[in-house]
Amino acid sequence: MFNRRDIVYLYDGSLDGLLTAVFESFSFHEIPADILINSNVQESLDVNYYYVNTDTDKAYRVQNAISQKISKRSMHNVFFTYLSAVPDKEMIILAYIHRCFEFGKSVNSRINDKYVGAVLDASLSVTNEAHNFKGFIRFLELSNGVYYSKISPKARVLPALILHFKERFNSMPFMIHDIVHKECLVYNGTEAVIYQTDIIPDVTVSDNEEQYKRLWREFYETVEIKSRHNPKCRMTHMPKRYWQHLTEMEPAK
Amino acid sequence: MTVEEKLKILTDAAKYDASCVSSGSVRKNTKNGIGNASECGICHTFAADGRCVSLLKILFTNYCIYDCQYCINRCSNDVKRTSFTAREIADLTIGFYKRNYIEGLFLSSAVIKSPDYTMEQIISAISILRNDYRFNGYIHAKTIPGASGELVERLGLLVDRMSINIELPSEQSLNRFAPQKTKKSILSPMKQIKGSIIQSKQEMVVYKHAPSFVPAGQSTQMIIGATPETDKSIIYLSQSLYKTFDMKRVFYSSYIPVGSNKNLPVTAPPLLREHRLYQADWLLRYYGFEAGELLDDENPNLSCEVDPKCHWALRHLGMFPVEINKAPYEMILRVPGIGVRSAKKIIRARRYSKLSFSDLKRMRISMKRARYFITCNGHTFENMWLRQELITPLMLSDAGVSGYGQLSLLDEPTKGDVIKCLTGEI
Repeated sequence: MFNRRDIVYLYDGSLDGLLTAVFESFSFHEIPADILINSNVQESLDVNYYYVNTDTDKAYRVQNAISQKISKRSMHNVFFTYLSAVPDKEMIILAYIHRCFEFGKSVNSRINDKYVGAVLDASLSVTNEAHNFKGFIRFLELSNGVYYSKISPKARVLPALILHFKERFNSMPFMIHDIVHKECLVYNGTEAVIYQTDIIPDVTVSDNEEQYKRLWREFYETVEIKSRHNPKCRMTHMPKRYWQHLTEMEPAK
Repeated sequence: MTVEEKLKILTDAAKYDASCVSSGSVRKNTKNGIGNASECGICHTFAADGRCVSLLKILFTNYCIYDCQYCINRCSNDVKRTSFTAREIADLTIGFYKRNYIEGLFLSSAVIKSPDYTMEQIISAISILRNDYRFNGYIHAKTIPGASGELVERLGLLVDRMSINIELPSEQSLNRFAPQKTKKSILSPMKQIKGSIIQSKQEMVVYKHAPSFVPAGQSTQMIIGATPETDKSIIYLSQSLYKTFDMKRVFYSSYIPVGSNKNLPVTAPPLLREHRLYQADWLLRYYGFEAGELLDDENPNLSCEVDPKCHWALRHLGMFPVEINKAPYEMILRVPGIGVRSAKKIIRARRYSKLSFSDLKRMRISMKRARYFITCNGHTFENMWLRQELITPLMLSDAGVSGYGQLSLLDEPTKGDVIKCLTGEI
């Protein structure tokens, strides 16, 4: 493997694109200076850019090699790191995949390795944020019977939420709209899909929605033990970045 | 009265119960059903006092025939009284659940007419949820002391967790402040629940569709600071509750003055005490400590200055420093500042390479307190010398308390302590 300080790979931002870039890196026997998303790049003159053509077949081979030869857990870690908001996640993933083939099945126990540690941290942070959203998502009942919610997460948590809400709500249709990454999870009662969208829909809520909001705010206000008031503790467990979409944190009308 | 007014009154009456846990159950959703339980539990919001809100915690009614002195709902107290109907509770729960406000229902009740009558009301509300709405989310119900065994059995088949509050840490206190409740009326349902849980687990091994009885186990709560028991008697009591009744949790609720009895304190005891009890409780359940190691006749109360684990370590400096690369898991777990997660990480990583202090740092293991108690490959952290006179003040300065010599147990806890003691999730 050559460390190529002069080459930067550009990919399309998809997981398949990133795995194709990993495939190319292995087949060229080189480690690029960086792997970046092509739409975010201001090209400079002293660097060579290599445009990675997303190839699902190559991506599948990488994915398959990791899940078969190393472990499903390792592929999960790669996927969740990819979803994370860590700035240089692409290079961390590339280094981690190298470690996977070096250490084999024991890779996830080598927590003291810089890159294994970084991947485990990133993957855990996505798991944790998704776990928080399992609690902090608030659905509005729309007049057409769909339950709609907006979230502003750091990482792209939607794939980590599908199974939880699908199992929980069964035949109840719902939408979870990630307005930061412009993705929307739609579940029609049988199947769930995530699609990209720039539009934030204007929704009409059902007739008793306001009533339930009021009841919930009333409950939230009342459940506090006033003599133990401790806003700092609340902020530790429920940081302010989650507040904007919480029904109980909206100022009452 | 509107549902909104009822909700306000019956939430206000229920909120002094500390438990709001939604973990431990793996109840699955059914066809055409709604909801499931999440094994690790989910917090849906946090109230402004920093407590997790995961369940819709309400009373069925706050009309009460009992007169327990520490309780806000005692019949001699002048508060507004009301009662939900079973249908109202079920509709509220489903409405909240569908909007993802809550993880399930925590239904308790004051004692109306008789213990049996109250239990029947609770059962009727929960049956509507489970049978009419096919609700499979988490339900925690309180058992009423003195209710018949047959009703406890019926309720247990509907809910995920059951609890019966032990209320006060000794029989004398109970007789004094809750004369209508007896030790027997509290302990016998606990015993029954334990027996039925074991039986149901055995049946489930044999029959695939055997009904599960209280899959998330039982819990209890006691009020501390209202009566004169020491931390030692409280922790010994908890230990025996865990061992005898397979209790999942014992909750400690620092007494909040709501009573008028002149034998009860008029000011609330420091919340720090409650926090220290929770820390000791965790040591019993997850860290392999025995009550006798934490508290004895010389130290009948937990230290205000340092946490119980650190206090234990300072009294057993002979067992330290612990070599990270060789010590067994149980010993690593006893190092102050190293928790279950960190200890497991260490055990995992050291199978493949010798760990140094920089490795531990990279593994995000906090060295703030652990550094005084461990060695890596024989090296101490920055050649620190392990000596009690040296460490104790260091620990105290970390805890935000200055001047070791000036401290005594009688000192008021500082503001910092109070804030710190509140940052623990209850």
